[in-house]
Amino acid sequence: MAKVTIERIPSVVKPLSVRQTEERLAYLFIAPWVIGFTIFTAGAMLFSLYISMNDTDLLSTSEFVGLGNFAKTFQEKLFYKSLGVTFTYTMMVVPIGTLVALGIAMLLNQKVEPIALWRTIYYLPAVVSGVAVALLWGWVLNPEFGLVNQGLRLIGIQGPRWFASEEWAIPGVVLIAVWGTGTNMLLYLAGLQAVPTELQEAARIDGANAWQVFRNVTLPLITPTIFFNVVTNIIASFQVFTTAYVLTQGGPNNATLTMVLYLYRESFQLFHFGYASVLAWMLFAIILVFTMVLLRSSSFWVHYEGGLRR
Amino acid sequence: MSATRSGDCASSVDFVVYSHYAAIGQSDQKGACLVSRGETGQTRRRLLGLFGASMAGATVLAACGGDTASAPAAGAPSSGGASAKGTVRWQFRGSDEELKASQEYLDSTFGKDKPNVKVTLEPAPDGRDEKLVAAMVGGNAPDVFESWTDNVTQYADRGQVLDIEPLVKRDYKAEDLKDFYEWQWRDFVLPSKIRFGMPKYVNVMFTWYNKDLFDKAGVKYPDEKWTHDDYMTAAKKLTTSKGDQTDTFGMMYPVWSWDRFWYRLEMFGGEAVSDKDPSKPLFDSDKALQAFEWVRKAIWDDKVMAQRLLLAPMGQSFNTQALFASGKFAMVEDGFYPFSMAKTIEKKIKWGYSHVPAGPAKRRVLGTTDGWVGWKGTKAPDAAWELMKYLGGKDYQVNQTRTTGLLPIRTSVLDQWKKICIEKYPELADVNLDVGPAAMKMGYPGNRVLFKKDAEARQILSPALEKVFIVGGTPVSYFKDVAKEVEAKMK
Repeated sequence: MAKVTIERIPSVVKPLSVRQTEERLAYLFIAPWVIGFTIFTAGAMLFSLYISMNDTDLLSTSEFVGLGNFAKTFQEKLFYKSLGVTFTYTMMVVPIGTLVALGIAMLLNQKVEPIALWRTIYYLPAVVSGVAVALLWGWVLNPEFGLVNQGLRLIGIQGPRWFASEEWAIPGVVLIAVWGTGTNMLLYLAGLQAVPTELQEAARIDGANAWQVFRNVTLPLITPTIFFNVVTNIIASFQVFTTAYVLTQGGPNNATLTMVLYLYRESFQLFHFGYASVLAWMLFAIILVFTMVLLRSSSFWVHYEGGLRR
Repeated sequence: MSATRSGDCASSVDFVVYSHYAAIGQSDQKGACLVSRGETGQTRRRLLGLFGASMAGATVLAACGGDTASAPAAGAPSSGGASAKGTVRWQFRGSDEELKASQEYLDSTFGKDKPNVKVTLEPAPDGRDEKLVAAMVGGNAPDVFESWTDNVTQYADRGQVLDIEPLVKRDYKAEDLKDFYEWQWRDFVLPSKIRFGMPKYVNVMFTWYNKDLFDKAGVKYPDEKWTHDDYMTAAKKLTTSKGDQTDTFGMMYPVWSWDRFWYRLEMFGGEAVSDKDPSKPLFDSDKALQAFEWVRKAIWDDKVMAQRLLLAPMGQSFNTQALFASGKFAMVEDGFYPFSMAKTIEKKIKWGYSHVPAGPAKRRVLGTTDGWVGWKGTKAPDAAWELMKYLGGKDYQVNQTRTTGLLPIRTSVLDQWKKICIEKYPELADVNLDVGPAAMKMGYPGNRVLFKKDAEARQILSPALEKVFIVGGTPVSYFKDVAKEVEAKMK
């Protein structure tokens, strides 16, 4: 009888490398977010895209209209109004907010006691809820008895009618937003504190004055922070809703009808969910365009420490 | 991690990997990138693959989201009340005190009469209207909820409202129906011919007047003979100022709300919209414009009518009753809330109710259509209808009066209503509560004629009212342009 020898075949399954193990763990850790994103964000976005091509109230009627809702936007007066209002708001709040936040950050970057208290005071508005802020400022900007106009009256200035005026309503909303600029201020402060002091000292030794040091040393080195803030602020300002909803309901006479508020009205008050979805996608596209333009432009004006220009 | 070295690695993923190796002390950064690029190429493909699978899954989920437009199955009650059973979610819009009283009364009466029907009372949340829409879309709206024509028309047009007309015909006799107010019963039928619900209470616009201020100014109290001229004359005498700040306004009338404004047009002989053709706005007629002008002049020229923004910021409500009690207004044109007013005023002033002065053409005011609505998608339509009948019944109406003082929807319990009001707040004996029943007899309250696309029309009208009556500086001829805009929208 032949002798049968059984040899152990070495396992073809290699044990996982450290890198592979780490990869699997990484996927496991991000899985909750991915699942949540898939269902509640991506899924919702896809559903929104689907209903944007339908004339639907989500309750009783649904008719496929293709790009009909998209064409409708260009015939609606309120679409242009809301676009104009949102655009005006963004073009005001982003530059003013940037300057104010940077200015405050520069002040808070000084060695002044009690600095922790000052930083807390300037940051506090950022932690107050949007609804509370809107309610508060509604009283502060009251044209008759609000604090701002009372103060202006003391120095002989007739204050504007703020939310009772179509011209001053948006500046009022901008003022509220700029007041709450604590988060941006904090980021600028971090950026300023990361600027190497030896570079500033070297510039001073070479005879640069304060403005020259700021313009030629500090400012270029905080451009990454400015870039980040400008991008995020543009994205946020195009989506402004709370102040307009709580304070003015889009009035007076649609002077503060932002795109998101318009979209909200069309969906929850008029049941035009398909059309409202198109508005949401158009807003998305507008924000995307602005973001891409800024990203493209960043290579010209954003300087990274030790970075190489392409 | 050191400062960004974005030029050294070809992609942000490479950079992340580079940073990892830099962090663990690998000195050859370029080598690290080369090493990592091989592996990240694999990772990048895998990541893209995973993402693609996720999006495909999301697409499937979206597609499987179900029919985007499915009106609920017709919840037609089958037979009479004896067989009613099931759980009914009743959404209640009122104060905590009212909710508690309703729950207790429900348990002790309806709960005993209908042991097979379980009613769960839930308070209406903030943002109720939007949440109700979301609940309807999600298929889990409350079985019975409160609504009125401004909102319910939209729900009814979309098949969300139980038409109770067949049920009324089945369960009510002609004598029963006589116990309801004819004008209110009529106004609960929508243009689509659906009877949308059971009235909750009666609320009619009246004039509240501050007797102390009238006495101080030497002005005779208003009565049912008052005209708009008397109204304006009194308002001028009652308005007082300190410098350029107005202390007391002669009158307050919520002109910025179309729901409260429309009847003034009819008082002057005009109309808001044709009742024969609801796509045709008529508020640009000369008579209607006279009504607009009467109000505009009162606010901006004579300065006797309170400006909205002097009361509270836009977007915020204000407590009219508290301001009335403080003497800010000598007269207010608003609803009929005896208990609420007695509680707020606390005998600080002597006050009373009067009919809103008749206009040049007639007397007309809003009689609200707040009612209990059955959701068409209810799984217990018989039980929901039994609850609605109970809420419109004499016993519940009397109980509601004990908590709120609101006028009941049943004529047969009006005497009890007045007695309950005066027992609870004896000062109400001097406020002329009889004006409530008198208005019902005179028949001048009612609801407005709805536009063909009423919500769209109001979205044009509200900003227009703001422009003329809150911002100011715009002549009332502006409403001619607004009428054209509304007409275009109705097409």
